Amino acid sequence: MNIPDGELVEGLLRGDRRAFEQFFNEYYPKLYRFVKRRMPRDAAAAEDIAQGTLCRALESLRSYRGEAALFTWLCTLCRREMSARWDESRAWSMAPRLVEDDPAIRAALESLLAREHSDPLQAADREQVRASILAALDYLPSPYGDILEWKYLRDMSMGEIARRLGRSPKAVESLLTRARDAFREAFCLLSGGQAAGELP
Amino acid sequence: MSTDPDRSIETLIRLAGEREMPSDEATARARAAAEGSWRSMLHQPRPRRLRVPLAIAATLALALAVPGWYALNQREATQAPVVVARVVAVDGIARMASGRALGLARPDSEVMSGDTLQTGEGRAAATIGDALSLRLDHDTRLRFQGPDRVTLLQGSLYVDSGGLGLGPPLTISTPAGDVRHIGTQFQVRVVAGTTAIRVREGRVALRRGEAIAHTVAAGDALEVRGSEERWQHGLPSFGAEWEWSATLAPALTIEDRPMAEFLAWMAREHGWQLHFSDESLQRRAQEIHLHGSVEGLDAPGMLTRVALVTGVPLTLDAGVLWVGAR
Repeated sequence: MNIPDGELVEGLLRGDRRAFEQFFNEYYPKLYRFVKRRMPRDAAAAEDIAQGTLCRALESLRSYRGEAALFTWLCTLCRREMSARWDESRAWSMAPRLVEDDPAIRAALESLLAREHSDPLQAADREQVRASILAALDYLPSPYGDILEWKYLRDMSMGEIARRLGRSPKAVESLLTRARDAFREAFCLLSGGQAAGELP
Repeated sequence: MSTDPDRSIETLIRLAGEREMPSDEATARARAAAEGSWRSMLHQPRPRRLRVPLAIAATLALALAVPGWYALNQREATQAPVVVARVVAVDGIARMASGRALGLARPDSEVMSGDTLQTGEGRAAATIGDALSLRLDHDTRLRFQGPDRVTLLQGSLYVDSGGLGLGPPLTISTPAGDVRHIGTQFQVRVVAGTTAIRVREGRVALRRGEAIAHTVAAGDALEVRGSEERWQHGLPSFGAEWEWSATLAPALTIEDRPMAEFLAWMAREHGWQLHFSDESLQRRAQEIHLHGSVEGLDAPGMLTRVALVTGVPLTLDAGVLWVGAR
């Protein structure tokens, strides 16, 4: 069962082990990929920075006020962590400039964590498309990214997904619809505004 | 070309494949570190402030602007980093990741809560409360959560409580669990997902959650990798496994100090046993006062110099320091 951000934070502040497990399992891989997209050649640094971000976040959890989605707040801490560790390093100065780092795109993506909808598109080449898809999946509100992967990559049935999430199959169908809409919007933003039906 | 939006999304997701995951080793390490930070946060005193449910907080933000500002400052004051340790020795280069800065770690610099001391080619030593000696071998990263908790992110850490139990109880978070010492000398090593604990003197407890999973005693070594555990018993308290830590030992000023104090210090730092040729020499070692300095010398050099100055033969053989004629 997925716990919403507010409840997750309250659970962590209460010392609830289940909340810690969800927090770690969901956000450590997302933060890792967040850094890795910016430092594609340095997996060890990405692991390290993601770990440092989680530690700092947990130590200062009482300062999280719920005004932004939890992942947005974590990304802010993660950017600081990257900046602190890599300001003077070649790895950071050679980091690629990502579409998702554009302030306007970032604001739009962050708004996705609170709501969803929209239109798909196309991209310039397969690697760029792939990077945009993977980034979009991470920006989706939880558990949309997982549901889309389970459904389309692992061919899990609605019943299997429902059991995994502890929800009814009908609720999962509705979640899947919302997940597709959210994905469409995120992908649209990241790939420059073309239709998902017109793949290269 | 499909115009079905669901099919398009399916095609896109299949095209991208599974999202990349961090390695199992890094995940285990990160989980231990995050859990250490979480527990540390839970043990911090809660700030005294108005508690407002998150959802209502935004709506009330304007009305509560002034008390909110006050509460924010109170909270920041309680969460401000505090000094938890002090760097006492650096051999080569070591760095301190502190807040937004990554700087060189220098002897006498303070270590704040949240800081990470990291060695690459170098080594470093720090003290907590001037009682616990923490020594970091090459390629080690140690995060200080507070005066009673550190997380060994990677590498080898040697801990010496001075044998007096005067220091605060220290918990070391590792992928295998929390290691707590009971007045002792030991080292913990975290390398590629494996946690190894080796005790020279006293005992340490490895805890998982609230329960003690294992107690490791002097001469024992325990290696944990996931669910696999490997024990070794009857290991020597001296030798190459330990010797690196002696290079970071606080310098001993020998001027006008009893020879017995020097011998005890050498034996403790190197894990040797002391053997006096007779009782009268043992008593005399209390009365012989040393002069000069052993600074900058390695262990054999120190023994040679003190033997020359005092005229008492000192011989090292298989972990035993013989004092007097053998």
